[in-house]
Amino acid sequence: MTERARKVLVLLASAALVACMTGCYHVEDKSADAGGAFGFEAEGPGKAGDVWLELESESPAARTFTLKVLASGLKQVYGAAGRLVFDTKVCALRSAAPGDALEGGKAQVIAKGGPNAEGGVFGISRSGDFETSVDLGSGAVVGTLTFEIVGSGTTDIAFVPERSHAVTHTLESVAVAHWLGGTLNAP
Amino acid sequence: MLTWPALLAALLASGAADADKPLIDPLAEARVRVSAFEAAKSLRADAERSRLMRSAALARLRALTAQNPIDIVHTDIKVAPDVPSQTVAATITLRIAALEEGVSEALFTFVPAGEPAVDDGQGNPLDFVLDADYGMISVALPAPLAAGEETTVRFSMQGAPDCSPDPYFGMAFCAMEANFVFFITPMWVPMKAAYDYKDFYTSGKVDLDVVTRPGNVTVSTSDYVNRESTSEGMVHHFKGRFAADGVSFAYGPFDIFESETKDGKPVKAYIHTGTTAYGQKWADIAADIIDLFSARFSPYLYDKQDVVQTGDELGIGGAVGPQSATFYYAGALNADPAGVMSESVFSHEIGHSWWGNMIRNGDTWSPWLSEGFAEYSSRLYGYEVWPARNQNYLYEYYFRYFALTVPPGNEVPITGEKIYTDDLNLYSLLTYDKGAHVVRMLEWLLGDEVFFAGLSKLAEDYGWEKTRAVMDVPALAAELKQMSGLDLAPFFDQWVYGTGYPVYRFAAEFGGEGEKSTARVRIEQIQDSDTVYDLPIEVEVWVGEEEEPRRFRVEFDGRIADATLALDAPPRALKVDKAAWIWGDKLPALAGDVDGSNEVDGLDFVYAAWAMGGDFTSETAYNYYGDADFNRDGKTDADDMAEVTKNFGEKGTIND
Ligand SMILES: [Zn+2]
Repeated sequence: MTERARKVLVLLASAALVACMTGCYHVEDKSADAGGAFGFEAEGPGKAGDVWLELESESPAARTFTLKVLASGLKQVYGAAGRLVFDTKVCALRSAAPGDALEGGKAQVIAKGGPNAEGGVFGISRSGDFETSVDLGSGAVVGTLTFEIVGSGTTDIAFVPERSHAVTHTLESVAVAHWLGGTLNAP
Repeated sequence: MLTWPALLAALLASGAADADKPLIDPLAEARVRVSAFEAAKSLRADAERSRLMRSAALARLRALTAQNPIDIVHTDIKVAPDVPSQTVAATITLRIAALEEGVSEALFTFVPAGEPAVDDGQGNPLDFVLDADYGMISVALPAPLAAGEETTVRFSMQGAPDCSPDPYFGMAFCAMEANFVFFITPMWVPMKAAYDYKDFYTSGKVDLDVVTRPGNVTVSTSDYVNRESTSEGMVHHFKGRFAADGVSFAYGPFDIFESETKDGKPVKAYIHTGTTAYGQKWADIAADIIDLFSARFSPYLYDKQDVVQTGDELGIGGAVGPQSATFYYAGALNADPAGVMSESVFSHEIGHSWWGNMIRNGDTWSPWLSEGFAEYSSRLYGYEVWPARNQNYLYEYYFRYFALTVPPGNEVPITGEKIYTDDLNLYSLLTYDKGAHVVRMLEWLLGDEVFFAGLSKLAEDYGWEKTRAVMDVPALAAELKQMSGLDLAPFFDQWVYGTGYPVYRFAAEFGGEGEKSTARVRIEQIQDSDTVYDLPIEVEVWVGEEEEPRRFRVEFDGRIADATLALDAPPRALKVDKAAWIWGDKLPALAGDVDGSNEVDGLDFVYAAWAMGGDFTSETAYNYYGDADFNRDGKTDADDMAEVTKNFGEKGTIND
């Protein structure tokens, strides 16, 4: 993807956010489809208290793309778990990797992502220190998710809130206002 | 590191409803882990009397094959402790009766304080043989007694009492500190020697005079009458109204906090050292405990209950529960009742008012009939005042501790001669913990209504004061069989006379949708032994948005239980016997599913990541999480995480 195209996507994402603030939840604008490349329209960026996905990179040749899992303003996070639903004929979640947001002290940050029947699941967590969590600032990168394009089409990549949670080191839920996914277009 | 008070706070917090739970608040049990650890330790330190002393006496009597057909019909004690010299001067006058014709010798357990003298109460010396090794004395009676005939035997002594720690539990049952003295079931009070619990108990009441320096408050297992100033000192008079072989007393500068039971019996807490800030609360709690047990078991017979602080001689966590007065290590009464630990010790000891005192254990080889029932009673009170999961976890904890620390070949039946093992851990786990769990399984099998009615009937038929009958395992089995109509012989064979436990592996499959949702569960017994357990098992299913699980009772057909549960909303998690009704292990067929959602996903990964390095036997690595220990090795580690990653994204299914 060219730098120009990326800027277009960011602008579209901003537009989607405005649209959502006015009450719409679904992004219907599929105009990112341009000349055989695939694109991801994020529902975010989110605000304080949100978790959202954002495109980090894509490799049209390898038919893969990587999404960042970002969060803002969450307090006392030990780990985050997400369940995503999407059209598994279009893409597949292959792996997850830790970002730097959960680092600190003697804990390691570990991650796991993979497919399930309805889409994919991932977990990103501190480990090796069960007594401390970390506060997340603005736009903190919790981790990344790498997907493979397995077919063509358009699909929402949406969180299932019941199984998507940020938790503290006492494993209580951290309140998250919105779990924001996005839309993949793979022509 | 989290400090102890912080953990207590976490324990309390775990009782609050969390607004935003991940699923079923799976880590609540991790939060109670350390408290459970402490409570279990304290219970291990509990003992009512010196078991070693008694078993030595038993051994002696068995060797002699002697009968000791006497009853002690009255005991009169006058004791004057002298703190500076660490001695006591005591006179103990026993009135004994022959239980058969021609009794010419009486045997007592007895460890005198100094050289004893024995006479007939009139100053005529009686011949005796003292066996210091076994703590026994044999007294020759002046003339053979006819059946029912009574005579007097008086013991006098002055010297140092044996207050050394019990070699078994490490508890010292007496101490004479500068301004505080206590004697709990002192061995210098002669008690009837018996070769069997059935012959051990006597009918006599105990009158007690304790001579102290002025300014002391005295409390005892007998009822307070008055005190008078004499040339010897202040004499505190107590009179027994009930048969007592566990006579105990303490004196010191006690502050007293008064409460009462629902039927108006006085309950007092006695504190002589440390903070008194919680004294009133503990008195109120002790009264609540009696009210609960009165309602569930049988009326509280005694005239009062005194909850008495002693010193650290009992060991941290140590306590003793003779009738009508219970004695605790110092910290118990100084603690804030917000801590679970003291409450569980109080309810255990007060539980002995029923199990061991009002209902006497007549089965020498079944110490669980008093200890297991007292421990069960303690949990019963815990369920009243704490979130159920705290008590559930204690039951689970006991089992897991047993499964992890006792090699299968070392287990012995909870009833039988082998129970008196020198392995304190094994004895405690079986008698206290498995014993309590066996009682809990009877509750589960019979249902609350029948079970508690059975215990009430038992108390009626075996109440010592009324019937002079003692309870044993056949008596318990017969009462519960009569009440339930069930053939309980297989239960007692498996759990009381046998060893081993079931291992259940459960698979689940969620189906349907919306109002026509289902959860199918298939549970298989996979224990190595040939034993098949036919206890039903509880399946909990979390449905829709409901906070509390729905509970189902599933029956076995041989080794398999298979049930499809109809639900009006989709299930979101399923667990088998999470309330730990059954002493046994329960493993998910879908390894890696920590929280029972029937799918291995990111939340399971986070839980397993948190639990990495957790060690069941460690007091610091308390992030051990049983439901994430898939290979049941007592550690939550990389092996368990490997199960999560191996099955990541998998859903549970059942293949017929
Ligand atoms: Zn006990």
